[in-house]
Amino acid sequence: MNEDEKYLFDLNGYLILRDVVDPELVSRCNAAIDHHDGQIETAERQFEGTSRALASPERQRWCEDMLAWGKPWREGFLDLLLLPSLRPYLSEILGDYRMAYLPRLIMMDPGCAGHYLHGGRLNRQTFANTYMAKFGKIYSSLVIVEFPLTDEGPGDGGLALIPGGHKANFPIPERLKNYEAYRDHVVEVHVKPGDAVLFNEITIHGTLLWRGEHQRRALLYHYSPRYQLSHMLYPDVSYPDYVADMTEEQQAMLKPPQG
Amino acid sequence: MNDDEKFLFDLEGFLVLKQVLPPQEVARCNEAIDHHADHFFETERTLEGESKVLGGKAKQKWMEGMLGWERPWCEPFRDILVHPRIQPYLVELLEPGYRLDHGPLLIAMHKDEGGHYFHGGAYERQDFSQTYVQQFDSIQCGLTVVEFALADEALGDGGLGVIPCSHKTNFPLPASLANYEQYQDYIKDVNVEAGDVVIFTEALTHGTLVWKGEHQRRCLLYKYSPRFQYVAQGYHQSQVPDFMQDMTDEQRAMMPPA
Repeated sequence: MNEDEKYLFDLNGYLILRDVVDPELVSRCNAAIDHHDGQIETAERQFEGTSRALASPERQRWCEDMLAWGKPWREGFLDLLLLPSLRPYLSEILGDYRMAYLPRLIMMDPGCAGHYLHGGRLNRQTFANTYMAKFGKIYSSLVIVEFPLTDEGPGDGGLALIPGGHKANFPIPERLKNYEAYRDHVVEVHVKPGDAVLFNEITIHGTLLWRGEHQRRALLYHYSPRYQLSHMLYPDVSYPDYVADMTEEQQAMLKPPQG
Repeated sequence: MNDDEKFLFDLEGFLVLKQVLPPQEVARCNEAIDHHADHFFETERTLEGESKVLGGKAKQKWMEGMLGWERPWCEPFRDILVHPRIQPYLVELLEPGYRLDHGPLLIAMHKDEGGHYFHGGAYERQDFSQTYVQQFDSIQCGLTVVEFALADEALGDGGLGVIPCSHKTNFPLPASLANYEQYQDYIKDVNVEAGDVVIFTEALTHGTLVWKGEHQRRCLLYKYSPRFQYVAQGYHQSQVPDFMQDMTDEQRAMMPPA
């Protein structure tokens, strides 16, 4: 990550990297998704919140099962997890890092509803999800890398970011959150398969209504510093026998992070 | 944690709470420790680092594992883990849901036993796991230490030393200060009585002076983290999902830790 890129990432809260993923890897991921298309269900959440501008009866489909698809289908997603071209960026921003959530696939058919804009410092006040720069170094708790598997061109909708939103000190106006005002402050991100978008979770971001004529497919990989955990990935936890003899309050002190 | 205490903790990076453990609780702890005296060990680490003055004539002694002792010996240490007088401070500093990161660790020092070079500082503890930040009217800490004195530490005895306000430094800690070889005036020798507690952020520069007291110094350290962070492994073991079993080492290293 060169000095210009550090400046721009600190300035805007995101960075677009062009042609960092080999087309063959993109194809493998798309083929795996095609193979499992029938298993990918509609997400139940109302991602548009109260926004009328982002609403639609057409719903997003999400999938976080890719790593459990078995060989050979999962291999492309594992290769993306370890993409060499991203390592210098993630190391610079996160230090020693690892995956925070399972990789997430978002699928949006034409006309599909978006996601209200969210993030910002006021909504992310703890170390669990924050951004700082000190002593000439960037510190971020949670970084998202979005890999588009299909084109996202001008007017298509899709990923939207508010430059500088990672440093906002005041609450986001409701109408901006809903994409119903101040749209000039929102960037519709234009990318092609093979590109990657790095942004802090705290950078204000969302998804615009999908107006492309093709299906939008985007993979989201979340990364954290190694000493942080965003959620419990492993629910089966055991303790030394003597812990069973402790009170609930005492046991609660010994839980794993996010346990 | 009242507003005065918030001011003082933010100002100096530590707080002394008087008489948290009544004498009988201190006695319970010490009796349990005495009962397990064969559990004392010396760490292999060179705690004085490169200091020519903190080495002492012998190494300090440590003890661990108290939570797992059979009853009644484990009980005072389990009670301390969730002490009602300490909880409000940790909630304020670490948010609800905080967890024991590691410990408890007992440090015991006879006269002239060695100390620990000064370590920590905002410049040295930059990442979230051990740093200190104040924003949006709240304090946010990474690793936070709660030190229970089980013996008096009076003026001139040595023991815990801190550099007040160092949790906000912007420049590296001078080596001569870390080694207690220069600028000793900037180090506060923390004086406490048995039953007192010192709470400090790991970002505060702290260390241990050679023990000069006639009696054995004993202090118990409990170290806490916010619910979403960890510095040490912890007491738990997690079962990883089946799909991770046939991952490569490199792939497995990218997954959250068990």
